[in-house]
Formats: sequence, C-alpha cells, structure tokens
Amino acid sequence: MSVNLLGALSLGIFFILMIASVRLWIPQRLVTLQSMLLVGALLLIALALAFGVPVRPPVLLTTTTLNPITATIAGFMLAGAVEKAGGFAAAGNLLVRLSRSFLGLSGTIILLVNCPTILAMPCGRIWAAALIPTALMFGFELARRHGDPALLPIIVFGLITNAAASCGPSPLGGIGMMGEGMGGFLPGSFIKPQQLAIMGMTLVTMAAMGLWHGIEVEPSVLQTSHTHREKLPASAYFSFLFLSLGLVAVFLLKPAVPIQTVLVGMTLVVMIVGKVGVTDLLVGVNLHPLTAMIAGFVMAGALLITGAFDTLVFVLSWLASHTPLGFVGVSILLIYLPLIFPMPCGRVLVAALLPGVIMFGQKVVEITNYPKAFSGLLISFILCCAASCATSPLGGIGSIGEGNLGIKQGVAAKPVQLGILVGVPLAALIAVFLGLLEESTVMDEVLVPGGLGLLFGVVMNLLLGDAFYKPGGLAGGILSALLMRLV
Amino acid sequence: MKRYFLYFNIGAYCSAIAFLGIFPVNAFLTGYPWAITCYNCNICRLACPIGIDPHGFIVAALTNDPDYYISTSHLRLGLAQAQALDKDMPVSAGKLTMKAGKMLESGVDAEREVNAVAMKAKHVAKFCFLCGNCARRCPIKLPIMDIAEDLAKDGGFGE
Amino acid sequence: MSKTPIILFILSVLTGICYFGQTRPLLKTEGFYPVVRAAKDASYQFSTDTVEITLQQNASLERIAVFAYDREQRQVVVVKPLRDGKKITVRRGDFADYRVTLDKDTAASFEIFREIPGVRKGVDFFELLVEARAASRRYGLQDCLYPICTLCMDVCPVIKHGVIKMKRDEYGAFYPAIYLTGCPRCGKCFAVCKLGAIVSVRDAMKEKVPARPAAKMENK
Repeated sequence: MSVNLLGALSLGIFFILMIASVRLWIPQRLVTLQSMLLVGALLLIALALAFGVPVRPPVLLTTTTLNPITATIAGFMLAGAVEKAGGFAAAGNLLVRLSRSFLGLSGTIILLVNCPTILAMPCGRIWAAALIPTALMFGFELARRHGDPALLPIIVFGLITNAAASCGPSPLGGIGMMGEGMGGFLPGSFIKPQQLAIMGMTLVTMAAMGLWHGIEVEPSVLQTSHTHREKLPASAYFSFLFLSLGLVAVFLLKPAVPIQTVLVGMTLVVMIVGKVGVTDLLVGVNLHPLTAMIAGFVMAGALLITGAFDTLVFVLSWLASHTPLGFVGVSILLIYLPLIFPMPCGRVLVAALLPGVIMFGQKVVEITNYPKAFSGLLISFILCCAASCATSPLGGIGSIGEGNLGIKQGVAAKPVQLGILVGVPLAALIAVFLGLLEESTVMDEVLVPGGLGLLFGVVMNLLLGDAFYKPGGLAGGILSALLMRLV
Repeated sequence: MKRYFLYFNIGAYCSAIAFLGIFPVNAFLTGYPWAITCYNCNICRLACPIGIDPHGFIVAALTNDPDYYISTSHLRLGLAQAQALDKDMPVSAGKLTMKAGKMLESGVDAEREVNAVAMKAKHVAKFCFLCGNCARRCPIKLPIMDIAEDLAKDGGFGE
Repeated sequence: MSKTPIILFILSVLTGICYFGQTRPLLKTEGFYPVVRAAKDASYQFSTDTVEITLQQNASLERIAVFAYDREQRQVVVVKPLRDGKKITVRRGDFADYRVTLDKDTAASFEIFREIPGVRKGVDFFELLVEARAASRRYGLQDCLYPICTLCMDVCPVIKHGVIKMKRDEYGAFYPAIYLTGCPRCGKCFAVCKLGAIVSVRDAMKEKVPARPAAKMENK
C-alpha cells in the first residue's frame, strides 16, 4: 500500500468529476455523466502515459461486468413485452382485488413493495420497469378511492427503494455476490443481512415519505387516465401470471441457465401470446443506466491503471490513524460514500472501490482485532452502493418515480436517503450479531424476519390511518418477510 | 442542449455502446462465446484448491489477452521458476512481496518457495489441475477449465 | 407478431454459430486399462521451523498433495511444489489449502481455505504436521485431490456399476480403486486425470510406475 503522484492525481480527478456531476456544477444538459466519465477515463490514461506507466488496453475491459448490463436489457425487454400485452394492467387489477381481501390495503402494499427483494434480480431496474406501472395504476386507484394523493409517493418510492437495493442480495449475479466472492465468504452469505436491511430501509423510506413535507404530486397527474382498461383480454392475465410463476420457478429450481436466457425465453412466449411486436420491446429498453454502467466500468479500469485504489486505501488508512475520525469514523464515511456520490448504477462505485474497501477492511480488523467488522463493512458498503441508484440525480431509478408523479426533481430523494441511511447499518448489525449463512439458526431465519415483518405491518397500518393491529397489514408484513427468506 | 454538446454526448454514448460490443467479438475470436454469460459473482474464486481465481480465465477470454494477470492467493512455486516464467510476476515470501526478478536480485535464495500473488493467464493455466471444481461451483456451470486447458497447450487461444 | 418468427430464426442462427464456434478441448482416449499409482514412500525430517520430505521415487508432477489428519480426524491438505522432483519443504506459516471432513471412511464434505490476512486465519500446516506426528495421527502424500476433483468418476461410462470407488489406504491417502473386471477400457479416466493418480497401463509399464494392486469386486 503506497501513495504515488499519479494515483493521487487520478483519484483527485475522479472525485472532482463525481462531485461536479452529482452537484450539477457541470450541467447535465451540456455534458452528461456518461460523457464526463469517458472523457475522465481518457484523461487518466493520458496521464498514465505521461507518467510513463505502461498502458495495456485490455485492462480497461477487465473491470467491466457484463452480467448486470445484459440482465437489465433482457429484463427491459420482458417488461416491455408484458406491459404491451397488458400484463401490468392485469397486475393492477389483481392488486386492487387483493386489497379487498383479508390482506387489505396495507398488506397488499407491503407485498407489492417488497416484491423486488423477494425475487431479487441482478439489476433493480428490471423490477422497477415491471412494477412501477403497476404501482402507479394501483396507487392511482387507491388515491382516488381514499381521496389521499400522499398514498401515491409512499407506494411508488417504497417500491423504488426496494427495487434499487434488491440487486444487492440477488442470487442471480447481484452485487452482493461480488462481495462474497472477493471477500472470501460462502456463496449466499450476504443475502440474509441485506434482505432484512432492505425491509427496514423500505419501511423507513415509506414512513418518511408519508411524513415529509413538500412532496406534492402534480394534480394533473392524478387526473390523467393511466391506460387502465376496464376489460382486459385473458392474455393480459396470462402474461402477468407467466411472468410471476416463471420468476418464482427460477428462484425455487435454480436452473443452471443464465437468468438472461430465461428472461429472453419468457419474452418470446409473451410476444407470441400477447401479440407483441419488436418495436414494443425496444420501447421498453432504457439506455441511460446501461451507458452509465459502461462508462463507470471504463472509469474503474482507468483508475486501476493509474493505481488510484492503492492511493485510496492509503488515504483512508492515513485519515483513520491521523484524524479524530479513527477507523470507525472512516469506515462509516466509506460505507456512506455511495450515498454522497450516488451514481445511476451502484456497480460503478463497487467496480471502482470494492478492492480498496476489502484492503481497508483488513486494516480495520487488524487494528480493532474484531474479525466480524470485515463482513459488516463489506455488506454495508455493498448495500449502500446497491440502494444509492434510487437517489441519484444523474438518472437514478428515483427520477423515474419523480417524473411519473410530477414531483419536483430531487425532493423525493431526501426521504429515500433517510431510508438508506437507517437501513444500511441494519445490514451490518444483522451480519455482526445474527451472523451470516453458516451461523443461521431457525430463530434467525423465522423469528427475526417475522418480527421485522410485523413491525412493517404496524407502521403501514398507521401510515394508512388504520389501527396499528389491523391483521391484514400484520399478515402482509410477516408473509413478505417469510417469502423473502423462503423463495 | 447546444448542438456541439449534443454531438459530443452522442459520440460518448456511441463509444460506450461500441465498447460493449468488444466483448462478444473477443469472446468469438477466442472461441469461448459462453464467456459473456459469466455472472461475475466470483464464487469460483473460492473453489480452487490451489488458490487460482478461475474468473480470471474468463476475463482473459473476454479481453483476448493471455497475458492478463490472474489473482492467485496461494499458488506455490520456486523463485527461480517464477523468475523464469515472468520476471514481473508479483510474488511473496513471508512478509516480503515484490516482483520475482527484483526478489531474486535482492538476494533471496533461488530455491526458495514463494507464493505467486498474480500470474499471467497463460502461465497459470499450466499450474491448473483442471479438476473442474470451479465449473461445479459456478451457478451456471460454465466450463471454465476448458479455457485453462486451451491456454496450457500453447499459451494462446484457439487451435 | 409477424416478426416473431424472424427473431426466432435469428436467435437460432446465433445460437448455432456460438455452439459450433466454441473451442472445446478434445478428450483423446486410448483403449488401455487404467492403473492407479501406488502410495508414495517418503522420509520426513522434522526441525524447529521446517519439515523436509524426501520422496523415494520421482513424483509424477512438479507438485504433490501433503496431508495430515487433525484432532477431529479430518484430512487437511496442502499442495506443495517439488524440488529436483523429490524434495518438499513444509515451513512454519505454510497455510493448508483444503480440509476434508469424513463420515466413517468416505468424504462427507470439504472446505477450501481462503486466508484473508487479519480477517480469517488459515490452518498452519507445519504445526498440524508436527502435532499429527506427536499424536501418532496419520500424515503422508497423495496424488489424488478427491473429493475436490471427481473427474475420473464424472467421465466413467460405467460408474453406476461401481467401477471406480474412492478409498483411503492404510496411510490415510485417498486413491481411486478401479475394479478392472467391470472396466470397458475406454481410457477416459486417465485421459482426464491431470494429477497423474491414474495412468494407462501402457505408460505405467513404459515408465515403470509403481502401481496399486487392481481392486477386486469382493462385495459382488
């Protein structure tokens, strides 16, 4: 671990570019984040050449992770096909019916918002693309029925937070798996702490969203007709059920087939059944997060060439030893770094910083002589990265919700940030006190998730103005938590 | 958006998308098109009994770069052998970590057993036992050892 | 809708190109009977910080697995390089590579160690070897990396008939016991064994490889 001028310079350039983009000092209407990152990467490579560091172009490719990119494309295609086939409208109808059952409104909302983490995909946008239209339809119906527009952002942003963070615990190549592999933990070790923390994160976000001042849904949005068709064809219900059952089957059977192949196969079936054309699939694909991921990975490659990661670990260790922050303070700073620089995809920072975080984690353990701090630090950092795309002003998932609800840009990010702020340490606490995969007991697997689900139910009941003990909400909370652990 | 910036951004986006295209092209050129389906989950990293990071073979195939340095946590070999393979190979002996060539120059016994910290893919392939445990642990059962076997033959990809 | 068949066609073509375009190593097989390499005889010299192991005969590869049994009767293994084809040095601080948990005489599970400095400490193989010797527990050398490697059993076309069974010898080393009476002589087992634990009878005779006696179907 050492510091050199090139590493320090490149790290400085990287952080300046981040701050300039996130704080919108460089207006996005002029130069987008992607362009900024690519130009920054070129600059770093030029610097490396100027310093006489041998630059081998393939190194730029090594930091790129194809899995989330291809999974997101396949997920967008499937979501586009199901949307066109009327599957999400059918889902909206089914949810409305479900809300009239024993589960009630609160139980149904809890199930809906936790769906992304129950069936966690390698990129949260897959679920966001699929469920935001459903959440909007369901939300509009409920807001009208209850005469309370505040219900809409609660549902939509609860779902967005959950979806954004869900790429953390995904067993289909989620960010958590990168941490497990690189940190030397057993496969699946990071799932439980992250799942439970995401429930907490979603809960806090929804409560904050309900209590936050200044989140006002544009009235005209409420009056807009949202493609809600009264009579849906049977194929609409089929496509939604096919989507749900197909994904549940993937999680239960765990076939040795990439999730991308499954999603493309399902898209083809929905295309045939729902009479969906190719153009509809293209409509569903959103290029922004994909290009942001690629640009981020290229930047990570450039940082690797210039040796910025070694410098970062050096700087963090220096800060920990020479400032009042200490190792605990610097660890907290590191964990929340993705929240300070929220990228449109959490993997940008994971790709760039995970090796540095692992090196720093080893230092922390050496100093504190507390080995569990390593898993706590790693899980928290990964979860914060995963969830941070919800708050990114550079085209994060949250901006989809803001756009759809006509909320002023950046306002809804505050309660979501609060949710992440509270939820992230929860993952570390669960990892440290309940343990990881190898230390799980029946009590950890049932009682703790059940308790958290119960709490979710109580808060949701209160948010909707019901008695806190309303059984539908409590049942919805417990059911979501148990499904999360079982599926 | 001003026209100049508009085209600048278009150029950047097109470059990003074209960059993505390099991967399937390389994967076809090396003969391992399935490499693009890797989850990058690093689970295989925990599967190798001799500490090779098998994911490195996939990266080598995707980048068409047999000289890609694969992380090796506890691959043991003699210092002289390490130096003969690649003098720039980072190796460790006890608490000392440096390039093999430098370590030999610094007076460490050539017979001394060292741990390779990272090694070029074409060299690691020769050490791989091809036990297939990485493929068994892979969630989508990618035949990673095929790449190692290929590289071990002549240090390059293809027939 | 009309474009769906076109997409299906393109998908099929791409899949076909990928299938036929991939490089797959050819498994060259010879129609000989397999032979299992005999246990390694070696002398052990214990000193304060090292154990010097000298093989009686040259090993099949440049590396070999050294094992020792721990207190819970688990087999702990480290893969070591050989000097001059015969000499191995186990030093203090050499961490073990993996550990096999046994259920009676068969491998129940295994754990590959990955030491993370400061976080997860590995098993110091030198200390274990010294401890095993002091407690008269078994230690030695083996070619086979079972249960991590099961390739011979994976490729054997008659494995269902129990032609290859993994056994432990009196020194505690794992080896593949091959029942030649049921062996179809396909040659796949020694073609895939890169550890040199199984060799063809032709190579064994040519190179004068000391072999284990052929296993007998005593249960049948």
